[in-house]
Amino acid sequence: MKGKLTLQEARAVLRRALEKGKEVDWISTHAVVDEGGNIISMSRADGAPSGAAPLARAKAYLAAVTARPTLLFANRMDAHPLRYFGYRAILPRPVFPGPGAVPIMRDGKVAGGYSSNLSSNAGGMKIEVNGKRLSRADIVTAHAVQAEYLEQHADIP
Amino acid sequence: MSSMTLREAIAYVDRGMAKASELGLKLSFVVVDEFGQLVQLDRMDGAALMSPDIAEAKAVTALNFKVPTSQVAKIDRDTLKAMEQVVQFKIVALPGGVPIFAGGELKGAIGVSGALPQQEEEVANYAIK
Repeated sequence: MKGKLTLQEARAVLRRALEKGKEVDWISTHAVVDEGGNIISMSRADGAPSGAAPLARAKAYLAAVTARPTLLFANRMDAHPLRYFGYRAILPRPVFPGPGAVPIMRDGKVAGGYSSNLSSNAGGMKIEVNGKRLSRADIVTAHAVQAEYLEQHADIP
Repeated sequence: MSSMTLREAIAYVDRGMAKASELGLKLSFVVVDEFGQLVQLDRMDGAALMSPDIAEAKAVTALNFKVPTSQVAKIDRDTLKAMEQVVQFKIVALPGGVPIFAGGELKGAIGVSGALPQQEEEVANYAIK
C-alpha cells in the first residue's frame, strides 16, 4: 500500500474482516476511514445489530485521528471522564470512547483507521484459540488490518 | 431481521460505481435496509469528503417518503419545513435517492452524491435496475 488509502484497499480490509468475522462468529459492522478520519467504506454483515454502523464509524475515526488503538483513549477517559467532554466539544465528528479500533499504519505513518462494533453472536467476546482465550473482535481486527493481535477487550468474558 | 443482504447492497453499489466510472464521475454510495439502517457505504477515490453523509441522508429520505428524492424536491418548502420539525432524520430534498422495492414491498433505498443532481439520479436508477 502506497500513498493515500484507496477504496479498493479499504474494501480489501472489509473483506478480510467479514471473512474472519464469519469464522470466529463476530457478526458486526466494519468501517474504514482515511487518515483524516473521513469514511471510505463500511459494510454491515447480515444479522449484525442495526446500531453498529455509526459506532464503528465513530471508533474508526477516533483511531485515525489519535493515531492509536482506541483502548488507550477508552482507558484515559475512564481515568479522566471530564476530558471526554473536551474531546467531544473540539473534535468535529462524534467520538465514542470504546476499545477495539486501530489505526491503519503504512511505512510507520497513519494511513487510516478501522473498527468493528457490536456483534450479534451469542457466545460472548472470548473464543479459545490454541489454548488461549482471545477476543473475537480483536482477532477480526488483526486479520483485517494485517497486524499483530492486540487484546483490547480483556475485561469482557 | 433486515431483508436487504450485504451481498445485494454491494452488488447495487458496484453497478453504480461502474456506471459512475463510465460517466467519468467520482461519487459516494449508501444502501440502507427497510429500517433505514446502513448496509453498505462506499466513497470512490476522489469523491467529495462530504458526499457519503449526503448520500446516506438521501437514501433515508427516499426510504421514508417511498419515492425518489427528485419527487420529494417537488414538495413545497413550508410542508418540508413542518415535517423537519417532527421527523427523526434529515430530509434531503435533492435528486439522488431512490427507494428499492421487491415484489411491491419496500426493501431499502440507495443514495448517491458527488455530481450534478440529474447525474446522481441516473446512476442511482442504474444501480438498482
